[in-house]
Amino acid sequence: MNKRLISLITGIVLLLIFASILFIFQVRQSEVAVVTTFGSYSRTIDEPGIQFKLPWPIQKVFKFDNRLQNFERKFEQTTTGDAKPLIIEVYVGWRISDPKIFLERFNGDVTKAEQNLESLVRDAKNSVIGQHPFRDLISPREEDLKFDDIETEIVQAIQNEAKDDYGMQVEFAGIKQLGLPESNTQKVFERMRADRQRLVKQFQGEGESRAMEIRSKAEAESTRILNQAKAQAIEIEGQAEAQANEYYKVFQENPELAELLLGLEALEAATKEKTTIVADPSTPPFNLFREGVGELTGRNRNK
Amino acid sequence: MSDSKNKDLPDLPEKIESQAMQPKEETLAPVRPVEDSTTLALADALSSSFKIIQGLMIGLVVIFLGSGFFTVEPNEVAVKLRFGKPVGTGEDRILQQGLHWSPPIPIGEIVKIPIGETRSVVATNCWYAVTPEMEISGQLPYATSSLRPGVDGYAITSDENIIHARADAKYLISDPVAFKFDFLDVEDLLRNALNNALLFAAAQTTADDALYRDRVGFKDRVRLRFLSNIQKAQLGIRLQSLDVQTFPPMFVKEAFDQVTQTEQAVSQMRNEAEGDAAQTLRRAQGEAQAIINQGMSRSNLITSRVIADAKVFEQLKPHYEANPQFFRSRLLIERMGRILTQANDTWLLPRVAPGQTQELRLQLNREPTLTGGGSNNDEGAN
Repeated sequence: MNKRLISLITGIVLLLIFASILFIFQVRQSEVAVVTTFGSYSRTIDEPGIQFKLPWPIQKVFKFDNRLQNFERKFEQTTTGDAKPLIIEVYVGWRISDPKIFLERFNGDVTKAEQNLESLVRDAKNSVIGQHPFRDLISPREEDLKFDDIETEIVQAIQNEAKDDYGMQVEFAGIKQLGLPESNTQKVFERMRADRQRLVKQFQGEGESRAMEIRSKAEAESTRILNQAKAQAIEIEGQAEAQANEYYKVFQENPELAELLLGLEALEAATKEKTTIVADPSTPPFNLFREGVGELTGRNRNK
Repeated sequence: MSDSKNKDLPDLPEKIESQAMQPKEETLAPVRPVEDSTTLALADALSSSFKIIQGLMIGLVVIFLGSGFFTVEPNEVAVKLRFGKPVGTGEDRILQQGLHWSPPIPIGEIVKIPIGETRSVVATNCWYAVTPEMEISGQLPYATSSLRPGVDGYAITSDENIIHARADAKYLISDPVAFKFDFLDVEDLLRNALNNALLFAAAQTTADDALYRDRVGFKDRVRLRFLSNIQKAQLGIRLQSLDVQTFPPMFVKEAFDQVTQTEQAVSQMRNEAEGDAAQTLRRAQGEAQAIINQGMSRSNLITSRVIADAKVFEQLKPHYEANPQFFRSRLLIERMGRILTQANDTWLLPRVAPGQTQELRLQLNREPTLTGGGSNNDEGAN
């Protein structure tokens, strides 16, 4: 009896496994699927989980990767709104939004899908860049840059057609590379060199000028400090003179003596250094010298 | 028949014979079909095989269920899928480190995501063309008079110049489910987002700022744009660090170097000027203090001298008033004596008769210039 039960369970399990292979399939979190019946579209599955189907060849399941994919356009020349040549490369983030259309248009082939997307991106890029001047892409003012606007416009230009015709949802676009035609880069280099040479001269001139300014300012400040100090010294001396004047009042008691004393002081001070005196012999005390000589001469005569 | 049988048998005691016959009659089994040895062996083999299969199946079931155990390492998280769909919602979907169990494939599936591992992406779309060998050896590219589109990478700056730039971003996975299930190749998208950030930052920065003057500002602009791009695409990563390098095109590098050298020379010139200015000011301040001190000294001298003069005056006044003429002559002669001894030269002119004229010629040399050594040639009048 036990053997028969185990056999029965085993048989049921095997039957279930076989049936599940025939009737059940899984759609993973990162997948979407399309079920066809005798080649005709039946339904789309865009939620992960377990699903039922009729066995082959009645129904077939086509699964697609639903994750966001990166697509890059080739480096290609275009023209800005103000007729400047520009080489631009754009990348696009896309995912399968409608697996039915995707299956019908490309038979699930991503390469074919991207070839079609490529032409859409090219048209959109040329059209959008052609409406913007060069300064929308290159400008010293951040608020003038229109990177975000341009990228959004490219997405908007592609989005509807990609969704309706290809079953692809374009979620974002970005500028990957900006360049100039090769001949233009040569001219830019020449200009850059000329700019550098101009800058060298400018910096040298500014540096010398600045150095001179710093030195002259210091000289002026130095002169001001010295003048201020001299003025202060004179003021101090003046205060001393004023104070001294109080003491000079005592000289008024005998002006002749005062005049004599002050005159002698002045005379001595004036002749203190490097003085050559040319004097008349009658000048005191040389007059004594003369008198002495006269007396000596008279004595000799008397003898 | 039985009689004949009994006749053939040896003579046994009656008792024994009766005992032997009795149990035989009592334990007779039901009648069975006759089985040959092959059938019995086959039945035994089938029975054994069934038991083996039964054991194997139980073993397989145990192995099957046991294979559902798994560990999540400290630097990773895991997501359980049940029939392809994540189990749980929100944060509950993420399994942290430890031992876990999930029904094995095809019912369940485990996806491990190494979130603790620092990943790196390098954007070189704006960098000069370089081979891997050149990059390893640090060799710079050759200077060419133009750049080839699609081969030589570069960025256009806001002053419409050209620079080379590259960025190296280190990041961690912040949203493991989005990182794993929403994007086919996150690294490609990140690289493009970083290239876009380099272009955007260069487009609003001058070449000089990006290369020399404001590298930090340039890096900040790259970082902000990169973070904005990550946010916009919801890439599920967290930026850890960003390194940005800039380099002038080789063809104009020498010109850029000259500018840098000039800037350094100018800076040096300015520093020297500032040094000189500081020295001049310090000297002036010193001299000014000296002048003030001299003024104060003179002030003291004037005051003290006047006080002294006044005292002398008061002391001499009685003597002067006693005999003014004598006192005057004494002071005069005394002072003349001092003056004459201090003089370098003293010339006494000969006396001439009244009415005669005499001529005196003096040749005075110019005062010699003071030299730095402080030597002073005191030449008097000749």
